[in-house]
Amino acid sequence: MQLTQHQIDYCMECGVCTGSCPVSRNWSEFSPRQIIKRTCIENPEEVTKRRELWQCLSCGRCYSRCPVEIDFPEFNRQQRVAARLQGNLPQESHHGVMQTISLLQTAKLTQSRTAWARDAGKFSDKGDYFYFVGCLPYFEVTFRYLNLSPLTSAKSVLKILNKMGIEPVISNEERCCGHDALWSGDEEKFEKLAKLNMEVIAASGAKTVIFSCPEGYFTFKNNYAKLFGNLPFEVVYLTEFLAKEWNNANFTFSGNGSSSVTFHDPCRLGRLSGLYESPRKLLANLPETKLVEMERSLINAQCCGTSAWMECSSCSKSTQVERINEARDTGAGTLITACPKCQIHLTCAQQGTDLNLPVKDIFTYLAERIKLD
Amino acid sequence: MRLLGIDERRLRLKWVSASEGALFAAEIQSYVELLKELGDNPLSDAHLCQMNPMMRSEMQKEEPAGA
Ligand code: SF4
Ligand code: SF4
Repeated sequence: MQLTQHQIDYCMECGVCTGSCPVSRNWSEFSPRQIIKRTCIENPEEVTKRRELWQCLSCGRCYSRCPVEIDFPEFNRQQRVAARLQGNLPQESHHGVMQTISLLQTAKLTQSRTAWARDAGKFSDKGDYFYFVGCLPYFEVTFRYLNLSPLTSAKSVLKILNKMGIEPVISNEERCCGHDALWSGDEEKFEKLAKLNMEVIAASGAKTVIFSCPEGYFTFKNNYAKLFGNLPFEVVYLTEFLAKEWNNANFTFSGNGSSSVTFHDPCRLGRLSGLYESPRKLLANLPETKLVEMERSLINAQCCGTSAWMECSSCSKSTQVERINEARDTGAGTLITACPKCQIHLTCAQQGTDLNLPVKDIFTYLAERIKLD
Repeated sequence: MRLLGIDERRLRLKWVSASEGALFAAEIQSYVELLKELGDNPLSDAHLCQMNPMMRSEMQKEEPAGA
């Protein structure tokens, strides 16, 4: 991202970005304002040697508040591409297992990633709707130690879609969407994965691709569209789709005792895609469920503290614990989110602490309340 | 590996003590035979992608085919 002269002139003054940044809040030496300043005046080679450019969460809070609309996360992402070429690489979390899994998916192989769907419901090879499952089958094995089952979310999605009379395409050929590769500055890997996904979707004949992961949704909507031009299919996030189809679906519900919940806006869904209403509408449609808002929600929501499976740190943990405490302060019994990674991060942060707030994904929560048989 | 669609027999872990030379040789031989039977490594077109770019350019110099 090239800054315009107007942006360069205006910037370096207000510091709203640094004041809004969850990383700066924990590490005063991290400052998006100063990174921009240095990039404008220092030798670019020096800037891309610094480790700090891996610490941004690309949560977009700074961007949403910057008076001259400097898209810092995108600006920083491009610095990362240059940094990688110089051998300045991020610290990968979980020993790089997620990076390796997505790397292996760039090869021409047929995965075996749909076994879960055979028991959960009906799906097909071709059709109008493609359900982009994303990394959930891999999260299922990687995050067992958190007692989480990310595939329960995928199963819930399939059951809800089946209930609406939709048998979506689910494919063994689907690849990682490439979001993390892109934000780690590895554009080559991103493009390889993106091309493979475009081929898979084209072969399915789908006109609509449904996402239950905000990162996949955001990446298709923005980065795939940038790479391939207008996409030959519609990209929808499942909460939008359900909110639109809700009245036709004639769902009936079963009650549940504890029903006060709070909703955590994932950055890619809220601030970066502007989708705030539909998840709230779905929760409001559930009888006996009361949604209470956290102090910082919607455009001010706080990031879940880690991004692209890298640079997980004490800063991530305190950001997460802060968020959990904010959720607890609402008095809600469950924290609901619409992103599998938020769920993983916010659950992980509670390990070994006296915090014990269940974090659920919205589709599992809906599937528990909607009568499916 | 199962999820990724990679034949699990490609990964083999065996403990062989220093005194068991014959066992070591037999193990390697049968492994090589198996790998020949399984054919090309399905990941051969993936493996250079994410490597540190400096290391990668070195490797490409040595192995122009990218094998
Ligand atoms: S908020 Fe925008 S204008 Fe203000 S210092 Fe940050 S980048 Fe510059
Ligand atoms: S995108 Fe988020 S983490 Fe990155 S600099 Fe902006 S506010 Fe900080």
